[in-house]
Amino acid sequence: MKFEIKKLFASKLIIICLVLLFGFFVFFVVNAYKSREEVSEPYEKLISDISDVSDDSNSVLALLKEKSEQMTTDYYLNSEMYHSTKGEYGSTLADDMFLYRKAYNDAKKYFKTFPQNRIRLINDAMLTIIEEESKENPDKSIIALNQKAVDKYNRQIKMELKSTGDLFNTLYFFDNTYWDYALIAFIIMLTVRMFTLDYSTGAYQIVFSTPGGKKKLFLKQYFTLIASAVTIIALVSLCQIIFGYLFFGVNNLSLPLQMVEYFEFCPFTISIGEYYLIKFLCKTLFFILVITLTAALSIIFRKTMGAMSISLVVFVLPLMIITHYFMYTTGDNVNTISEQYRIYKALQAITPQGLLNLKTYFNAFDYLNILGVFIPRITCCITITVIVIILFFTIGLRRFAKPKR
Amino acid sequence: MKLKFENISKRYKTKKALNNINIELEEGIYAFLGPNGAGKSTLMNILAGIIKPSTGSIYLDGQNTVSMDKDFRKVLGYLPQSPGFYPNFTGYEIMKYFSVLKEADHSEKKINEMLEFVNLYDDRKKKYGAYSGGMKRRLGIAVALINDPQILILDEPTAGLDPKERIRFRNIISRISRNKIIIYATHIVSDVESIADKVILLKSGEIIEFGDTDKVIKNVENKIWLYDTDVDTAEKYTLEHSNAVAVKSGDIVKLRIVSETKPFEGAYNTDSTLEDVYMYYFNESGQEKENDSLV
Repeated sequence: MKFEIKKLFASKLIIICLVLLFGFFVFFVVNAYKSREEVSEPYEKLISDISDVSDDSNSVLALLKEKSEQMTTDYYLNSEMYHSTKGEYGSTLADDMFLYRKAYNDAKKYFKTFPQNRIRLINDAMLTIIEEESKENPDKSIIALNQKAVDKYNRQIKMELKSTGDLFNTLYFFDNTYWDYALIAFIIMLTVRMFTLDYSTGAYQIVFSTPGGKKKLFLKQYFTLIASAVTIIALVSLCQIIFGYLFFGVNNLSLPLQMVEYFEFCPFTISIGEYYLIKFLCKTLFFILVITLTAALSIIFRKTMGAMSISLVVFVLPLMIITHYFMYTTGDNVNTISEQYRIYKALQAITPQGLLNLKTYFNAFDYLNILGVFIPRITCCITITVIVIILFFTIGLRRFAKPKR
Repeated sequence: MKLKFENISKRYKTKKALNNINIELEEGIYAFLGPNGAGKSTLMNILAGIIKPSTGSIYLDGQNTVSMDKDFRKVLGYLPQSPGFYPNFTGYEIMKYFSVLKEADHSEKKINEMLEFVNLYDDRKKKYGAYSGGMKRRLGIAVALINDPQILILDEPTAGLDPKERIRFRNIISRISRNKIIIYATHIVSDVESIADKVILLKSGEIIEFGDTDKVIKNVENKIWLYDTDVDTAEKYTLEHSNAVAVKSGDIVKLRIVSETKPFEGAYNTDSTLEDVYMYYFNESGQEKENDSLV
């Protein structure tokens, strides 16, 4: 594998592209740094103290309600003193009052609004089931789908009064479309180089007449590329976690994903850390697909430019289409019941590019009815991706170093 | 060891590159001679498994080389017409990489030995991209030989080499030829004249002559003529006829003419060489031989 790595990276062009890619990433880091939010240490200390007093959510709520109401009343009576006296957490008592208010609102959101919204979802689903069952010809799929919703949402999610930071901004800066475009282009370039280098240098005649085993050679080249891609993605993911923590206070990765506002209606019981892991795995799977398809094209074409152009069209064009729908459906005039949104969701289920925009699979109840079986849209997308990988891996392996007719 | 080509044909769309090749080779150096486009490289590529024949098979000691697969490639060494390696690898790294691919001894000692053999030891740490044409060719032969192959295919190995390099290369081939089948495809006759045991003449995809080098040379014995003349006549003749070579010797020019019959009054027979054989069968443009006996 050592020689395959050398074959891959011993090129000025590749090194320049790697440096450009790094520069591009630094650009996002700088932008994220500029938009960073100060982690409120007083607030962190306050909620930590409150959590120490009691584990019971009702007690915490009651305590915060009492404290914030009392401070608000006192503030109106003696505001001057509130602004001049040093607070327990903030620089003044007035700051403490705002911190208690914020803590109370957060606690209300986690311990009251969240369960209430879940109960409402379950009730709605059950009502739909009852309504459907009362019809003369009930639609069994509607009943089954709503039953699935009841099963998924009728679970205990343990919310805690802790800060989750700004996960959404972290994703915005380190997990965006432009970065994906750049990474796809780079991975395609690496793959094309690996599988056409023997042809472009003229070494193929000697390489393919050796007993080393064509399968072995293909696998060596293939896994060198996967190892390189996984290394890059892992490094970026690690940076995302580190900078997410440093700039946007994303910590407490063991907390439920539902604590992040955007994911309130996520039907899966996963933590923020698990979400990061799934995102890394899905991204890796997508880039394995990019490598596999580009490798197969390079083996078939044996020409650098042909393989590169087709691979870019295959990957970037659908990605742009999906992005277009995403941008469109998240615009002001479009809602989730619009036709465009329906098309976007349908595209996401069948095109592997959806794996790059993972958050939309996790923010709502998103199941597909396939022959009476309900499977999450993301499972459908992963299955299609795996099938395409296996298909093109087989094509690549069979066509690799095959004698010309 | 016997290598048998049986009914090998190759067709590229409308062009027939090889037509029903049937030969059997044993240990020795075989010179495949023919003009460009005669089908030499196609035949070499088929033997190396790079391209598939349209019809026919190759057998090594009775076993089909395609079904032998890895076992056949283990005894094969191949130096293609335009070999290339990775420009950012050093000579040593290329040797190491290919000895691993060839499942040969890839110890430092063996690689250095091979590099010394082709006189590249001092340049082993230089990048391949910085090698001269001759050095690249020598590295190619070292790669072809690293697994001590029983069958060595050399396709135009001296193309682009200077005379000194060509002599050096010829000596290398002579030294390693024992107990091997060496297939040496070229159109530079002088490269193989002194080392080839047998000659195979290939023209338009067909074998037109196959035999011991001496016998093939003897076949044209009475067809080589010398004629002493002046510069102007020689110049005029060589311009109009492709079967003659002018050799200047003082004020006199000796016209060396390949012809079935005496071309001029005063022309006399001389000893034939492999070059004459080539001239006899292929004129400059590789066209069919013709009787150029008229002045």
